[in-house]
Amino acid sequence: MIFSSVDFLLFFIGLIAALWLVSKRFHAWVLLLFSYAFYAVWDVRFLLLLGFVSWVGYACGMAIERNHQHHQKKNTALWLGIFSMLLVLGYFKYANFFIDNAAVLLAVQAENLDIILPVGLSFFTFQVISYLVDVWRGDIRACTSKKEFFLYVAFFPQLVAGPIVRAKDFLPQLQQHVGVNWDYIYLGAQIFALGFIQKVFIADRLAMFCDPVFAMPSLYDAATLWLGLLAYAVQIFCDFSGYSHMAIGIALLLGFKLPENFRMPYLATSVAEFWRRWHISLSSWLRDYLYIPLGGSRVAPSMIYVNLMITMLLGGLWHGASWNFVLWGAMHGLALCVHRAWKAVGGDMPALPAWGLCFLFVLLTWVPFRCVDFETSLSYFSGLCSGEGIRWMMPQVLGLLALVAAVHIVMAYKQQHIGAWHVSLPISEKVKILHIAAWFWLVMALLVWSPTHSSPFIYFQF
Amino acid sequence: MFRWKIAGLLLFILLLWELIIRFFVLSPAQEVFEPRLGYVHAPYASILRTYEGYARFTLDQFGLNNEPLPTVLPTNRVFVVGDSFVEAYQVMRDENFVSRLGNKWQHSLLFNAGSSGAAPDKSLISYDMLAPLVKPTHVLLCVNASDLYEILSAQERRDAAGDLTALVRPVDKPSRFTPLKLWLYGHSALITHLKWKYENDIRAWLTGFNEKKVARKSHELAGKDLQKAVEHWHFVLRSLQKTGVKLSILMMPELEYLPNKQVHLRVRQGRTILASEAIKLGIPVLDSNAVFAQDFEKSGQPAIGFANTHYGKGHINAHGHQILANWLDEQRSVILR
Repeated sequence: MIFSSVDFLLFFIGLIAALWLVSKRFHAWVLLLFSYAFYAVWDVRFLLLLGFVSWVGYACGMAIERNHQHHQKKNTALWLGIFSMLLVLGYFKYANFFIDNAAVLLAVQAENLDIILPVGLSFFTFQVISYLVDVWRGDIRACTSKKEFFLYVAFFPQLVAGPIVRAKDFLPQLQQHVGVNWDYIYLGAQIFALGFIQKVFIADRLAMFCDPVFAMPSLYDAATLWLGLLAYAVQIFCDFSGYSHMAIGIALLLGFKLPENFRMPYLATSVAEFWRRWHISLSSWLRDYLYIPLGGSRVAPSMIYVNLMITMLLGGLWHGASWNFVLWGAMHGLALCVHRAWKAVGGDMPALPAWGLCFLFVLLTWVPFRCVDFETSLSYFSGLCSGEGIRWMMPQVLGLLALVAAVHIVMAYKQQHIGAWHVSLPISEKVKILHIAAWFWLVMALLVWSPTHSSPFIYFQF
Repeated sequence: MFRWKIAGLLLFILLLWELIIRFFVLSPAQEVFEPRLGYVHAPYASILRTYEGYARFTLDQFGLNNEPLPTVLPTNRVFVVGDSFVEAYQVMRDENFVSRLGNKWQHSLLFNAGSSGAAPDKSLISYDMLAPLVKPTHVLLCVNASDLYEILSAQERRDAAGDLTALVRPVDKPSRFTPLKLWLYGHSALITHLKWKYENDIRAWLTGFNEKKVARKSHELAGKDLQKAVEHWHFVLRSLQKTGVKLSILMMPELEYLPNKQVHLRVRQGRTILASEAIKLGIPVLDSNAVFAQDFEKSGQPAIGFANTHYGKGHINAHGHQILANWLDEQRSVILR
């Protein structure tokens, strides 16, 4: 059930009706019930897994809290929780990857296990790990309510593709739930609409071009492959950022604030800045729960580079059990190291070339990220340099890329010269009319322009 | 006052969308109801299509993609009939293979009777209706593999002896709202476009089911189905032969592009059977697959698909129509035998 489907619309109407009908003290139960129903639509069998992960998180959290004076017991509870999450993740996501690679290394035949990857597994296991570490560090108290903790893990807007929510941000909201209020609805609807436009209007359109180009890159010439790469960069941004916006919007409609996940990442002038703008909830998770525990920047200079590489390699692997993702993570890790070394020797670059270099690098790293295997990635890279074949300059793609580029230029200008935009309240009649006209224009544009089919969100597979 | 301002603004936006679609996307669907064929294009309707390729022209007095029929007919009158590949609403008129052949063959009328979605049985109905006016001397029946599956679904009329006498397709009967709907479609590009969107996208989005895609999943025919389809095909061919015209079959290209200018020729069951059964009846069959493959291997330029859709999928583009016209020109002695 994706947010841009009719099924979801009906589901959401049902949820709103249920919230409206029951007393406020039962809202958490209703949300929990609907979140489990939402997950059951994907595969009802994995409700048990979701319940198990939540239960382990809850029990270990309570154990850490109870034993906060006994370091050994506290540590055991923490590691038991983390180990359980990694075991679940390792089995469902990486078992076949390890079997395949072990078979290659040992030169033996091995059969893959018949495993289905439960949707959203990487997200909700990471949420539980962050919760356990936060309780262990004493940053938050353990959640004493099973219902609330289970809802924290299963809250449906962010359940299947993030943002990865921290317990310290979510649980207090649940305890002091403001319920549905008009300010949230007004803002939530706009954020949801923004995400919907990004997904349906841009990402799904671009997918129609990117899918065939990335499926068989050697069929196309270099210009088409460059256009395909640009289109994919915009597609994955609009797809994932669109999903995040829709999730944030839906959560706001229900009275919850979820963290920001994207901040115009393609405006970054360095790879380090890119990671402060792209998939923020994951990059900050990796920073707080992997990079810093490894020693972060407070170790010997050579170890900083090692820590960066480990973090990014694991970050790459988090996206999927494939060497392509490892390569993608390695490229980013290496770039972060180079950037750090460059800064360490006092290197500096004007903003425009720095942006160009960073954008080109990020663009090229999307090749292994998108291609199905190593071979196709190599074929794509070689095609970018000297590819001969069909030239396909799809006019809709050129138009959409121009539109997205224009938005980025405006945003870059805004960041530099204007600062934040303010809406003065109360809204004047003129602004109200313009709002209505803009919404109507948008609805018409979606009706006229929406593509033939909506693809699943890219990040669902992770 | 506020409400009036809103209403005015919304109306203005609707008008703006109407103009954008009318000038850049597609023309209003000017259609009329024909009892045997269903809804067909109105005579002299203006066509603008940009969903796949780009086409802008005015139809002839029959609602087909031709210049108006001349009052004095030339010696050779070739009736080219088939589905949307012949209709060619993806390229300008002078780019399609029928027009190109018409320009190449002096003293010949090349009449384009192609109609979107027309299976061979429907082509036969078109022939019956138009032959008294066009007076064909030759017929070029254009088919592809899926026509075998399509022709199977035609309804049969049999005489007392059990012999097949006609193939028909039930058409949607006009309702009391039909005149209003036709008027709306005929006057609004926006409504026409939204109807198309509904039929192709929105209904699939609402139901999570794409009927067209399911319907297009062709399967191998066997047993009674295969016998029936072959009987229908024979009926179409024999009916055309009986009229005394010189009939030829053109197998439209069906191929897939591969890297390094390679081509995979798709030879589905339907293609083989339609061709072999026609040959059994002594009808020449022109298979265009090879010439399309050779051209791609030489030029690397796709002849199927468009920049605004997907190369290798869908209809023949202008380059493809040129290949087809040049090749059919070489086959002139067969077609105009």
